[in-house]
Amino acid sequence: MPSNPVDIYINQMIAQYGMSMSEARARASALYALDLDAPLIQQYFSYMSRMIRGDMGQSIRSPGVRVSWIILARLPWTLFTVGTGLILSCLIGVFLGTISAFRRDKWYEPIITGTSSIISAIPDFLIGIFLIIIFGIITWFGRSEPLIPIHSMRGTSTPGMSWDDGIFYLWDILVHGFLPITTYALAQIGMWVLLMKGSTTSTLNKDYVRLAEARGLKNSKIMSRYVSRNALLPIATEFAMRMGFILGGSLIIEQLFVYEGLGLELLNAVHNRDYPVMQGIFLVITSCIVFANLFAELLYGILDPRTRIRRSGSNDQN
Amino acid sequence: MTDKNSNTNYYSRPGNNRDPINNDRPDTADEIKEQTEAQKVKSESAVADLDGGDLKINPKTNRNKLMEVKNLHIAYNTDRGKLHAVNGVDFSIYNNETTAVIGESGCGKTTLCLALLKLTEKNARYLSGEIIYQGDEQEKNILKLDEGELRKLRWSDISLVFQASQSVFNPVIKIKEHFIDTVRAHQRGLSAKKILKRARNLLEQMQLDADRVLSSYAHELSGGMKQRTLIALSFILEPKIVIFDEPTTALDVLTQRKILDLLKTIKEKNDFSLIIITHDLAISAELADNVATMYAGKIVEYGPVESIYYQPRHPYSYGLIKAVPKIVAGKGEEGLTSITGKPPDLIEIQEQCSFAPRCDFASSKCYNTIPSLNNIAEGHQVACFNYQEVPSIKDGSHVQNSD
Amino acid sequence: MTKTNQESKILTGKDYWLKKLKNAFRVITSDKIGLIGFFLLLIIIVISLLAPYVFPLDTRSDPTKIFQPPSEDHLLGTDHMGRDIWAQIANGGRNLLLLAVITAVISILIGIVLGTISPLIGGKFDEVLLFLADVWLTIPRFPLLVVLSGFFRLSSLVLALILAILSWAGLYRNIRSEVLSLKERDYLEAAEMLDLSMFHLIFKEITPNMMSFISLNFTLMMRHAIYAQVGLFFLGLLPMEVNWGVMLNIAWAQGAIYHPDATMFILAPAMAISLLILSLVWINRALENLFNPALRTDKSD
Repeated sequence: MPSNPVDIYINQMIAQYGMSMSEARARASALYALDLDAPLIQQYFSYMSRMIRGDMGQSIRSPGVRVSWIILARLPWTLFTVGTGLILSCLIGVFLGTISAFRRDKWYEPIITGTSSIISAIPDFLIGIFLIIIFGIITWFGRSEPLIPIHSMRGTSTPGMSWDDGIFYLWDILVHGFLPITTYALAQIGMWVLLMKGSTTSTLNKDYVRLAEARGLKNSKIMSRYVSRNALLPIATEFAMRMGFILGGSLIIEQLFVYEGLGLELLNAVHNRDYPVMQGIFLVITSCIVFANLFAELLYGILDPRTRIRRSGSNDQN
Repeated sequence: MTDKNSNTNYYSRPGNNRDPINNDRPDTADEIKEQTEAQKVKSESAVADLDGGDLKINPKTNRNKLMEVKNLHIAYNTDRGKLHAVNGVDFSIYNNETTAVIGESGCGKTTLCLALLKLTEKNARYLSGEIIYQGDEQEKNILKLDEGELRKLRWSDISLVFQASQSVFNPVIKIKEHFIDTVRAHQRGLSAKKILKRARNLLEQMQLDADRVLSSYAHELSGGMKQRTLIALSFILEPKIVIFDEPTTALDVLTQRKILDLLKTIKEKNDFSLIIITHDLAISAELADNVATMYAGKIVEYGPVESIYYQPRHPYSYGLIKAVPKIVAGKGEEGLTSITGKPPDLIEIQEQCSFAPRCDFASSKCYNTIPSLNNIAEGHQVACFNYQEVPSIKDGSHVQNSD
Repeated sequence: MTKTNQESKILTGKDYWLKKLKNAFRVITSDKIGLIGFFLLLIIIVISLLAPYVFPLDTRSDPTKIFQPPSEDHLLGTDHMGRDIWAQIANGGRNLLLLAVITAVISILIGIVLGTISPLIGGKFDEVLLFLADVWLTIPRFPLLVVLSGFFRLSSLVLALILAILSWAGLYRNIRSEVLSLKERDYLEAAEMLDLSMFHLIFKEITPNMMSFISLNFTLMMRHAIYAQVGLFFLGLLPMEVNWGVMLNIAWAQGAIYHPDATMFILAPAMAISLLILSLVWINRALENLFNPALRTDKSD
């Protein structure tokens, strides 16, 4: 049973390579840069202090490979897919949300809202599964092949291709990222639609919008300066917060599409009990959230003058 | 004393009672902060001006119709059915006169005033009627104007001051942007400098620190300051009609007082017609030339302020006035009465006087016929079959001391 | 003192619940979508309870019946070992639901206790707890569960407990602010003056007045718990048993997801989970309408 990663490593060395206990210990302490004879608490603190300095140690599974290298190699793929999904879902969601707020009397408004509330409730990995079934497995309209060649779309890119292939590689990346990106986008789009609809509806009912109308302002002006600016405030904050979940939200989806990003790496590390990698990735995921929270606060302070004043300690009149 | 006043000139009546008090009373802390010494001097001179009371020409001899509302019906589509908020309203706005629309909340007065700008909410339906506006040479039916024409008319001809309690300014842009946006919507290409010069002038008339207000966000201003800023904004295009919707509700008494005084000053100095929607009879008594009493979506009485307050002809007007408590304790407690019952549900229209169930003077005719608005004296109309039975108000102090 | 308590007309005990139930019934029946959600959940619960007797699981594999399409014998076809899929669906929701309820109950209990004690005690204790909650909220819950499963062998019950503990911060903050607003009202003051015990204060005075809030959070917590469980099962990080998440995992691991004949094997549990979560969402919506009628209709006038 898993206990201490160093012990596991030492046991492994002894079992697999027939090393003696002292040899294995020497090798382990060289690997982890730990003084194994020091008290446990001291070992822990020295590990932590190196973590803080950005040195996350080395992988156990692939000795000699630094955890930070692994993370740096995987990070861009996750950032690319989840980030693109987030941006797409936000853009489309804000668009649809605005429409459904303005056209509350149109036939398509209940469809937009209803669909949004349903897909926002379904877990993201189920959406991925539904996508695979609909596009990758079922054959439609009497065709012999499904719509998407799902087998050749696993992973981040076709093996053997690299930046040397130029534009083809770029296309290959897009093709491979298509399903994960669509899944991330669909999983969040409903939330954006509902948020934007609520925010726009409540802004439209505000007196300053009515007064702007009474003042004879052009509709386009009212929309841009009076409605959207206020309606987008909660969207901006939510977007900043969501950025924090870019890394943490990708675990199951990357497993589903065998997309070699940070989430899949974390899962592999968990299966392999590769503790330094696990901890390193978890640290990155957590700090991403912390920074996004800080960013959200900062952003709100910039966008909404009301919060600026409250900070400087004035009374809070509405 | 009050009797004497009522017989001579009613315009300065409330002022005479109030202004000596006004000069003595301390300002609110809020206002002391914001006022510079120079402004204080100005404010006193403004009040002094008022006391001098140079009266306008008697409106009755020289009245110009500026706007006429004919048989207006507005209903809201609600879950329960059609809600008839305005149910056959006829009335007119005259040049340079002040009209107060009084009535309980929910009687349709706000809907009526929003309709004058065709600003009612989306679920409002204009069932019938017209609103004729004689702005320039040509007369227009506001309800028939297209979006572009309406846009031009709004604020440059008719402006609207919302209730003080509400968030009337966009919280994310500065006050000066509101002035600039407003003027540029009507006079394209005007430089910001010119606009702000005009704005500063108006804000100073409202006794505000103009530069501070202009560079503030709405949340940095107090309720009273916001209200005065909005009043300044409402005059920026020199409109012919200004509508005040509950101008002083939700403000403290001292701030109310200040805003009323400022309003009077600005009314003296400028030519425009004022419509005040209020349930505060004291305010209407103080500012208005004419009073329209509204009940259940109808105007039930319209006439000069002194007639309505001393000789109301509609039982509802009578009830409203009798329901105002006097400030002097003990003196008139027995005279204070409230109107029993509730206003009717505006969803069901009945073939009867809508006030009949609450009326002390109702006869059987009231329960099967809807009374129409009829002239009973020069400029005085009432929709009541038994108007002659309504007694006069003996003591006018009802409406004078109420705040 | 007791008099003021009575006069404040706070319904307690039987009356309170009777009124709430009547209210709930009225609104749930008036809200169509809420009604659908309610019946959906009811059906899922009934099937889950009856399944062991009515739709027993195939205990033996039958290599001749691998990946069969839906038929009369097998309503949803068969899996990679020739076992009936419908029986697995019917039996696979029970544990998920049970553990979701356990998670929700424990987390709400923690939330109520911390959320009421904290503002009642106030001072430094309150400040520190609030700060801790803020820090706690930045911990990514699902990745942490994944990492934890690398350190410990998680069972479903342990998972429920961990999930409940992990969710304390959000609930604590919400309930704390609710209690702070309740604290202003006089009946709490009266109860405090009567020197009633903390237990009485929390469970007799405060909790009944937060029922709306608690029931909303209950369905929300259940959703979170189902998501986390199914996710971990799908990733193969929890021990195998018969449930929808494990079905997904097996289907996926067996390549069923890329196998046209096996569509039902993966579609069925995916649909079942979606329906369960949707029923909770719709009930949640109906509850929101019940407790906050202002949201229901647009204001008119």
